[in-house]
Amino acid sequence: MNSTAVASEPDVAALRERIDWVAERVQRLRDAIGQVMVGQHDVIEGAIIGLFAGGHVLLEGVPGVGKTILVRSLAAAVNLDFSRVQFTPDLMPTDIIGTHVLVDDGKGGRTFTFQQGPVFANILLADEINRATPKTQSALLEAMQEARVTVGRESFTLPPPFFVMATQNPLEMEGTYPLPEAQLDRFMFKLNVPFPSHDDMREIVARTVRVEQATIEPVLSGEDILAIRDLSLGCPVAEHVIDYAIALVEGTHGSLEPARKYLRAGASPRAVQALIIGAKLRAIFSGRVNAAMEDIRHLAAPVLRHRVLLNFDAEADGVAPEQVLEQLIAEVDRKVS
Amino acid sequence: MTSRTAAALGRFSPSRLDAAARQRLDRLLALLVGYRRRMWRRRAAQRLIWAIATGLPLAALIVLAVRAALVEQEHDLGLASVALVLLAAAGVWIVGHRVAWFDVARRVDRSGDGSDRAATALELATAERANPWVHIQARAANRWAEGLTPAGLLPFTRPEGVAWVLLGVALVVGAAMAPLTWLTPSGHGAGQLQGLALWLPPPPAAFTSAAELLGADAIDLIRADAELLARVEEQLPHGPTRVWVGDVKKVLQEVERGALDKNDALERLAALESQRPAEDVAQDGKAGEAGGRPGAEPEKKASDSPDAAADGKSEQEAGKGEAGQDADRAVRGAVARALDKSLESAPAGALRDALRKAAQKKDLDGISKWLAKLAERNMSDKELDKWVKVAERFAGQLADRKVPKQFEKLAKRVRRLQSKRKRQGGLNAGDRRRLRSTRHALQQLRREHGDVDSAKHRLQRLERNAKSAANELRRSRRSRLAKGASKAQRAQDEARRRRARGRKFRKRMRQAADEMRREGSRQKQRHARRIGRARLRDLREALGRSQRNSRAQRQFERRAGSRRSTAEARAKERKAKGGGQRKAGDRMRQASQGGRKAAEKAARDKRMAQGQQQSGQSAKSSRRKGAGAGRRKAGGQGGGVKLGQGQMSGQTRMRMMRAQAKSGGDSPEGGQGVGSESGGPNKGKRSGLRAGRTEKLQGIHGKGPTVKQTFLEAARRGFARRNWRHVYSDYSAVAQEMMDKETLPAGRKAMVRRYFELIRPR
Repeated sequence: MNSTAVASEPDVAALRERIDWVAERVQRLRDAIGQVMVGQHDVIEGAIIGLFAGGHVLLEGVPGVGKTILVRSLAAAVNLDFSRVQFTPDLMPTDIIGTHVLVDDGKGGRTFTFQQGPVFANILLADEINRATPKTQSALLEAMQEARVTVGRESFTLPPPFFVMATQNPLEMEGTYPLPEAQLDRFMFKLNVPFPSHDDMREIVARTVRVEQATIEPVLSGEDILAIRDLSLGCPVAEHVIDYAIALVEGTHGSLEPARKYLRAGASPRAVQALIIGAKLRAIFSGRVNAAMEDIRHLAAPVLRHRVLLNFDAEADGVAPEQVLEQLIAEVDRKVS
Repeated sequence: MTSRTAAALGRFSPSRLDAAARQRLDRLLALLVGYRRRMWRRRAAQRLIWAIATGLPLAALIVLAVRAALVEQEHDLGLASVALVLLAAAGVWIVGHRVAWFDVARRVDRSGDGSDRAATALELATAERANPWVHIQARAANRWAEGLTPAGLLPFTRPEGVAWVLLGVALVVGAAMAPLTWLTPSGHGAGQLQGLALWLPPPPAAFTSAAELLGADAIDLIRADAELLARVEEQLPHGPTRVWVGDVKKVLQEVERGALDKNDALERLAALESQRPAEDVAQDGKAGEAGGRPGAEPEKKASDSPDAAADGKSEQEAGKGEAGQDADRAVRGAVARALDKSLESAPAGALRDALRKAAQKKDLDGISKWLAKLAERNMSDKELDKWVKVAERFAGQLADRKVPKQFEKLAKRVRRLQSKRKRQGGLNAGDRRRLRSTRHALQQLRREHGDVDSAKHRLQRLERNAKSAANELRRSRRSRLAKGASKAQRAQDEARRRRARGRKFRKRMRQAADEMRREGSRQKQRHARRIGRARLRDLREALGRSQRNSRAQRQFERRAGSRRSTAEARAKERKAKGGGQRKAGDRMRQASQGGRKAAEKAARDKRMAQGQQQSGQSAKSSRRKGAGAGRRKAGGQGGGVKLGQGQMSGQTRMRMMRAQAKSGGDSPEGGQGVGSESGGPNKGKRSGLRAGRTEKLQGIHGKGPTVKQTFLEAARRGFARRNWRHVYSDYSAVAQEMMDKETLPAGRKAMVRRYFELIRPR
């Protein structure tokens, strides 16, 4: 049980220093985004965690609530390459990934050269992703999972950190192509962007309808993001917290009553990974050095809501995934307490 | 949580940590120790409260038992030891619990909003030491624990169940102070009671009026029965039968008034059944013996002889199966026939006419009355001779042995055929036919003449009296002729003889009249007992049936109600969730249809249970028979008792059903289609038909009477001329006989009895 090696005091002090630095940087990042975005703290928190965790985020909300602004602000605050692709039904995979084009080499010869698409960026905004055909949507699968694209026989690694933020509009469902489950599972979080409150809207008007527009200064670099990601992965998580996350994911597969009643399919193991890494980051960003069950509870909805499939009863009863997840959390809490 | 982790954490103790770890977590551990102690105390206090709340009522009971001296002194030690064991068990339960450290840490986290700091620190402290994260986390947890105290995290709260404790205390005080007279029922002193349960008063029985259970028509019938019994009671002579009939009438009247509880009614019915008065024959025999009346001696002798034993057995059977009714009718018929024939030679006059009228009415009381008048009458010698001849002829007629011989002959034939069947394992078609016809003839004879054994005995008694009267007269005549005295002497002798002869004739006539009257009285009493028993049985069955019906009705209503409420709840739920009113409406409709189906099914079951599903009554059932007769082997007998079918054997009925099925095309109503109903309960006798065997019955066209002829013939015979009272008695006797012989279900029997009760002439 007890190993002979003991952590030295300087190591402990250095780690403490780095943790404090992370907390301070993240706070600056929040403040930077907050200059442009009004309210939406949970969405900003989720987007930041997704960025540092190396996951991807799907934003869902009605038009005009600041989805694109959030992505732009985030990209500006971290000083990374940013691409935006407006997904339309006639968008082709090559429009995203890139293609080989015939290039005159100036010596009378012509060669095929790969012309990189917008995916070759650190932050990719896939706007209204559900308007593209499944074929085009699938072009992102490899890029999102492995940070790499393959064209013909050639594979191209995407520059780290690679972060996809996709948006979709829940209202206009006509002429859209719902994302397949495999694609959805690659998004770490699905964040619902709520309509702003009255005070937030007043603030939005005050900030945007004027001559001077807020500008965002970069507060983090790509290297910082990778360093924070590495640091956060070392954060210890107690066994009972891991067990709690697993119980929650297992609960979506019918081991608990709410899932039996309303769910057709449960979440994948990627969900447990997302919960744990998200909990670690959230704990560090909160100034704590241990992931807690409350972090898991907080992240359960963004991680699981797009990974569970409702059955007919849920559809008929008008039950949302969030409600089922709330019941699941209550049930798991009851069992572990 | 995995079992490995849970087990490791369950065994965790701060003593297992190394010194460095303990030092790192010193404040957190101090907090956990204090919290754990506080938690243990609180749990122990809660258990103590529950133990007291449970123990106090027991203590109150013990106090009551001791005060009322319901526990014997020698059991005091046992009671004390049981109390000690219970106390020890409660003590162990209260203090013998352990609070796991990890549970404490998690509770501390929850109470102090620690975000799993304490639990994680404990877990990591036992696992890793080289990781700088562990050190940082331990320090963070320790720092967090600095500002917390066990009392702040776990403040004092009032334990649950204090009200129960107070209630228990009140019970104990009440048990200790309550007056002893409250503890014991009246009439028993405290010291007189033995055993713990004796002081408990018997629970008051719920009064459920029998009239409530019965329907209005049943109450009407009971009222009519009570009136009938009142009339019967008036006609009966004083004696046990009259008392018994009066008791039966009283029970019926009380049930009708609703003054009798259901259970009481059933108990009194059972008591009356068991208190049924003994046969009047024995009583009359004793009375005859005491009074030196003729007939008493033969009665006594008859009871000693094997015939008398058989007679007694027959009487007993008659009492049980009400076959005695046939015997009574047979006696009345035989007496009436004999008297009617013998009166042909009687001197004309009012007396002869009256006697003949009484004989035609089969009125034994009337015959007795007129015979007594005959005995009192002063007659001339010639007239007396004629009446002597009448008496001789009457005795001769009674001694007619034709009927018994016929009985014996038929019974012998039946026995022979039965032994043949036993020997050979079966009979051929001819023998079967003979056996059937013989049985039929025997039954017919029995119906016409009653049970020959009992009738024979009574007729013999009458015959002896009549013969005795005639012989007496003949002897006096012979002695008169033999003497041949002088004229004066002859005149004197003649006068003396005439007086003596008249005296003796009168005496014999009086004896015959007495015998006739006694027979009439006995028949009346038997009739009264039969009526009483029938009424008792009807009432008992009506009560049982109503109880069953109400139970079935309650079950049905409960099922239907639960289905209805489930359907409504589903519909409401669906409506509330906006899942579409149309779907909910559909479900409601389906549910209500389901409920209706269930109701129909229950009603069908109920009908079947009551035996109301009679086969072969309607065109529908005829159609069912058309295709389903092959498998409904015993449907004719088991499906319901129908008048006139009682004597029909299963095979004959089967053949009729098949013929009906085959000739379905001829009948406008039936024979076509496939039967979907299963057969009735197979309670009938096994028929000789085997599965797969087909019997073809083909009538010859043009032979036999046409339908018109049949109707005209029946009209000529006058099928409606018979008195309904006679038709009823014949048919009810046949039905009763079949019910006694065949193993019909009790429900079917009740139905048949009910039917005959309803058509009974009033």
